[in-house]
Amino acid sequence: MTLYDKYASLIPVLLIYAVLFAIGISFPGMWQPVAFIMFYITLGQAFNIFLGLTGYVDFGYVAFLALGAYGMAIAVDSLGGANLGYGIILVGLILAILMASILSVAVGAVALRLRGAYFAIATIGVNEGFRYFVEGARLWGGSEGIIISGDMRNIFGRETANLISTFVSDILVFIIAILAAIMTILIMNRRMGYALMAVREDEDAAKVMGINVTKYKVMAFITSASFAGLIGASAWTLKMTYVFPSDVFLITYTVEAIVIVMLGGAGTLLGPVIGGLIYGILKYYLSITLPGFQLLILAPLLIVIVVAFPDGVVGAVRRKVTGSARKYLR
Amino acid sequence: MPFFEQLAGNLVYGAILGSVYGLSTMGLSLIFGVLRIVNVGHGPFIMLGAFTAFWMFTLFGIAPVASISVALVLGLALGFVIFFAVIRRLINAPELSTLLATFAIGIFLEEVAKFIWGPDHRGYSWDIGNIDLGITLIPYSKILAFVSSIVIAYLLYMWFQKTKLGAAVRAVVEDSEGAAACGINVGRIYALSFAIGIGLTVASGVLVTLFVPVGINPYMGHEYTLKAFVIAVLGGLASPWGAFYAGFIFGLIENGSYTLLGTIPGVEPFSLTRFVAFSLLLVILLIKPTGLLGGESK
Amino acid sequence: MELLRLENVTKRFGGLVAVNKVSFTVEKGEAIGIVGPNGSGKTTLYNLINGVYFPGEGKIYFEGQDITELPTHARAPLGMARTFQIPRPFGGATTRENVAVGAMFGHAKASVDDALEMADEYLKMVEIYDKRDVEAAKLTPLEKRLMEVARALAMKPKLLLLDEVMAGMNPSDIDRLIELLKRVKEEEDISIVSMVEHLMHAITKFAERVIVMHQGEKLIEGPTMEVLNNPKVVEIYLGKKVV
Repeated sequence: MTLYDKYASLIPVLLIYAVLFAIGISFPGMWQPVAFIMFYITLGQAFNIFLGLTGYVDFGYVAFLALGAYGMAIAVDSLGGANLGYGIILVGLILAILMASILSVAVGAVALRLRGAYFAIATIGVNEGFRYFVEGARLWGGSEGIIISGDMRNIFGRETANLISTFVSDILVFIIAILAAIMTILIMNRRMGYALMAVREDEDAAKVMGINVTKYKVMAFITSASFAGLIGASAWTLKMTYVFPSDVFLITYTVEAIVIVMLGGAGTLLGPVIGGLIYGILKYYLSITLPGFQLLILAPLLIVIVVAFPDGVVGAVRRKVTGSARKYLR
Repeated sequence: MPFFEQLAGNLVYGAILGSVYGLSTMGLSLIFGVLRIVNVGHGPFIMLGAFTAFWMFTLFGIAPVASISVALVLGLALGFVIFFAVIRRLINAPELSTLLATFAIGIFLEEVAKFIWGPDHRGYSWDIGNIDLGITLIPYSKILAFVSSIVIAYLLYMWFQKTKLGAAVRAVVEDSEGAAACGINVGRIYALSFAIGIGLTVASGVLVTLFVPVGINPYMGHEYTLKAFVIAVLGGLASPWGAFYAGFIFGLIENGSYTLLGTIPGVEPFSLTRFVAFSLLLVILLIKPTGLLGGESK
Repeated sequence: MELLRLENVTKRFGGLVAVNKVSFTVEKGEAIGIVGPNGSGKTTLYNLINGVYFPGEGKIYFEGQDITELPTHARAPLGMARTFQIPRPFGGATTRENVAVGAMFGHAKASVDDALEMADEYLKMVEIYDKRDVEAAKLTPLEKRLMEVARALAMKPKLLLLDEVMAGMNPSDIDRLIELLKRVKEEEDISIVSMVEHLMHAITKFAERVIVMHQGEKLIEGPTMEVLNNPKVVEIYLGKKVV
């Protein structure tokens, strides 16, 4: 396999990103839907690193988004007076990654020694458990959360603060999407990717082949969690300028992430992009007419996908296509 | 009231509540034992049972203990429908598929419930007096729930041991290929076991309302999912009987820790108890995932 | 030089004793056969050597090192490789990727690029190179077995455990495989342990020494022809003399 073969699948992905960006900045009023769609694409990319590559499902995934959101909020809230300027955003992002990865190590090092179903059960508690922990132990503002709109205005001035929450946060999401895609293809082409493939296909046989399955599962888990943290920090805290536990610990986001990855094609690079695109477009334009019905539609949709189209769009297309075109659909 | 009396009272209460927990988890363990499927959407079925009890009582004045039969039938029917619509197609699919499917089914039930009945919390009160045990006062309604759980569990046990169908189910649990070779229609056994499992779960939802007669809402199932898994893992995920006994133990631990945590100032015992439950789950999964009682199959 | 040693290894499943106080040794460069009917404990024995199961009693040594409690994944890098009785390919990946996994994580510890090259080499050796880009799930049962052999060889093991790898093959395929195994054994100094149930003539062509298992116990071991003509062995399995 030549270098081109190995990285060919990045091309359609980056192309779609570029087209979306172009549409967003060229046509008036299109930035908001583009940013909306990009959020879901990025969420899908992040979640795919775990669900798609390992075949394990983490039902508590939203907790990582939430922790990332908290990370940024805590950074701005506590260090706002330290005169760091834009540096505060960097600090917030770093704290977001740190917090999300610490939780992922805590959960993963324990739960990933277990088989798929047991792991999934363990993760069901993570989201609920962590939310109750935050509220019960009155951590980080407890049920009242953290509001940073005032801090943002103080640090950056009204106009820049506004720019950050409307434009810069979305640009960050684009950047995260690019990084996540690159990270995914890097993993896929290296030993870790092959190890995860073996884990996904037949974990016991993988062990016999010499693969330390727990190690690789944990690596994928931490990576996926870290990206979720980044997304939470940018797309939520920087955008909304507040974090409430009742908002950020919503299981809806986990379900959406699952649907996006499965719909698009789990384990492929392009899959989450297609999934995020389809889902984002449908949600943006349909939720104007059908507010509050998301889960009611998502749930049966997921069932249909799992029963009838488990490979997703990209997976199905990949089966039909032969020859050199296949490498673009990895 | 002195601390130890309160603790003792809570423990008795916990044991009684535990019987209901155990019943609800039996369904989960049965489905895993026979079909090797983890019903991640377990909690929402309990919610259905709770609403059944609520509406039967509120609309028709039917006592909750009587609505158990309604719930059982409802659960059985629902179980068959779900089996033929979804589960049957996933028997040979990778584990991830059934995890996602059962998860989605649970979410769907919640959303439909919210759509039909609204998100508000409901409650009802069925007071038929109390019994005085010296250290504590236990309402008769709860005693009835306790008795009902034990009766149902016993009837199920008898069915497994004494009937042909029950024996067929046990055969499939042991060795599905061998059972098929003996002429057992494994597909039908799968359907029946799934349906019974769901039926038990919905029925236990009725009994749950006798302990928590308020807060009945479409999303109430989540905490019970978590508890059921802790209990199932404690008792052996594939063993309904282990699950039943483990339910008792869990009830004791839960109420015990609630009392203890309540004595720590500045802490909200309700939320923190759930955190304890989750930590317990992780600990058990690490030490002995096949369960502390029962074992992998029975 | 001693490669593998089992000392009084016992494995119970509930009340059933699958392997009972089995001891034997495999020297470097040997070709050994384990024979015995279904249920005699052969597969369990492999699973114990591999680390899929852990013995209740007894010890297992590899190159003098006690590996009795060594986790499964740590064994392959030491120099063990194995095929499965019912092939277990990584179905969604290509044949080449399957074999490459062996090269990457087994004793060979190859880089991704080297592993892919090695995969091609071994696929050519077992003569399924033309199927290298096919999804492994789509291979025929025979091709899956050959893929497993290639995958095991790509690990560059010191000890190769074959689990009824020749079952269902026609005689000319069996002969070709035996030739390949003999060649590989010489060139790469691998010890090969092969399990068979019925293919006694294959064992006689291949194995220098044979161990006979019966109901979880080692019944007898010794040079191939001697053992296979032993009256007790004949009585239990063959019903007639092996020529």
